[in-house]
Amino acid sequence: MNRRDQIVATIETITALPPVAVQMIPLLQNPDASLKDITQRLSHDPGLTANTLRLANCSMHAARQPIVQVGDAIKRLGTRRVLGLIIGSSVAPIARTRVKGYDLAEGELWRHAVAVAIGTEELAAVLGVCAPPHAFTAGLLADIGKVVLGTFLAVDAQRITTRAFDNGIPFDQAEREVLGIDHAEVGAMLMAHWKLPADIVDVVRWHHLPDQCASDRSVVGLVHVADHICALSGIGAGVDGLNYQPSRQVLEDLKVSTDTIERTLCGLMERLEHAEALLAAPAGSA
Amino acid sequence: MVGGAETITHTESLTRRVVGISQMAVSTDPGELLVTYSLGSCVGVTIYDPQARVGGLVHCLLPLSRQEPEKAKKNPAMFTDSGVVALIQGVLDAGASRENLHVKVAGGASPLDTCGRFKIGERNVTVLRKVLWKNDLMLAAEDVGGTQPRTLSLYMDRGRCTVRTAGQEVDL
Repeated sequence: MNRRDQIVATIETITALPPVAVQMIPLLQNPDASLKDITQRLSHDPGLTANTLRLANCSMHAARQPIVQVGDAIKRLGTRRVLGLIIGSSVAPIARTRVKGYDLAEGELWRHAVAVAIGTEELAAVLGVCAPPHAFTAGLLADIGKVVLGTFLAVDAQRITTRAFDNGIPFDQAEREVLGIDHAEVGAMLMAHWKLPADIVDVVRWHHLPDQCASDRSVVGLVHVADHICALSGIGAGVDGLNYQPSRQVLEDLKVSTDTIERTLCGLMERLEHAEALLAAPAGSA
Repeated sequence: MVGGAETITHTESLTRRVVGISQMAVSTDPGELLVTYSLGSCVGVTIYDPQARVGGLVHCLLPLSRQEPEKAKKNPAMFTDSGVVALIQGVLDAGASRENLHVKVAGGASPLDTCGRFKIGERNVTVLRKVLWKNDLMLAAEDVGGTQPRTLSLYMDRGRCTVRTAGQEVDL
């Protein structure tokens, strides 16, 4: 069994999502599911209920009157945002761990994940385009493959870094040359194993190689650029740092200029001050 | 002390003061260690007067304050042009002398960008040089560019400055 096959085999052994997420993820993707079904299932989890109400009442989504019923909160947020909340709070405990192989201290990968998610929305706002609800979730999950490689498989990224710097190649290309797979593909395989929606899996898979994405490229392009903008900020930077290649095609397609990047970076830092607290609560807690 | 929220940790004999992104700190306490993490394309600038033992550190995100004048007014440390001027003024106000100032910089990294739109790091360093030139100051040391993030520290007892990159710490 070569290194790639070993890695792929490990992905299937990784802990499943919490039971409530396993139930809710297919339900929230089923167009025939009723609000009553969704509300009933979600109400069984006090932590998720509290987080849903909190998100529905935060300034971005808030109505004039505070929302106190979880059903009303789901209606206000929409099923895609609730799905994002469930995925985010389920993945957070895994993403918060120290990723030794990639030199990421405890909490650093999660800080980067939150920054990419918010950066994706901020970039869309600066560009004046509409980011679909799954863009945030996809941004949050983009680098989850690093946890699999750096923690579950104890890959030492030093070899990858040396190869990248010695040959002047992007870090993800060095991963493919050393391991036979990169963290984006590993992350996408984990997301597919967890039965997350295909549009999210596609963004995770192609966020470093957006030109190769065969499906809709609009969200993968936003996440790709947001990931680079977050790397500039240094938030959650590991051994790979800024050693990636932005896609010229995506920058052209989205009309991203230096001014766009600077304005996004500025807005992102402001929004991060408020948003990290919102995303900090562990799954199952208020 | 100048700047926003900071983490202060007491380690053995030193008090570590963490300077966050878009923050600045000025110190006259020889028992302090000023440190800033996560320098990507941002620049971390230290200024130290070894005679007065006064120094400071600023972590600037973007090159020019005209990008967001309102934000620059509220927090000059966010931008290299306004942040470095604020740091110079801060150390002078705290008792440093202009002729004794040692200025060092780390950061200014960029991705492997072939189209130039992500060169914020290079622009941060260029703006820093212009600001120093206008203020008749020269860089005593620099560790800038490349693709790796850095951590910059300033020891307030003697002005020792270190840069940590990928687990390796060296004197600047």
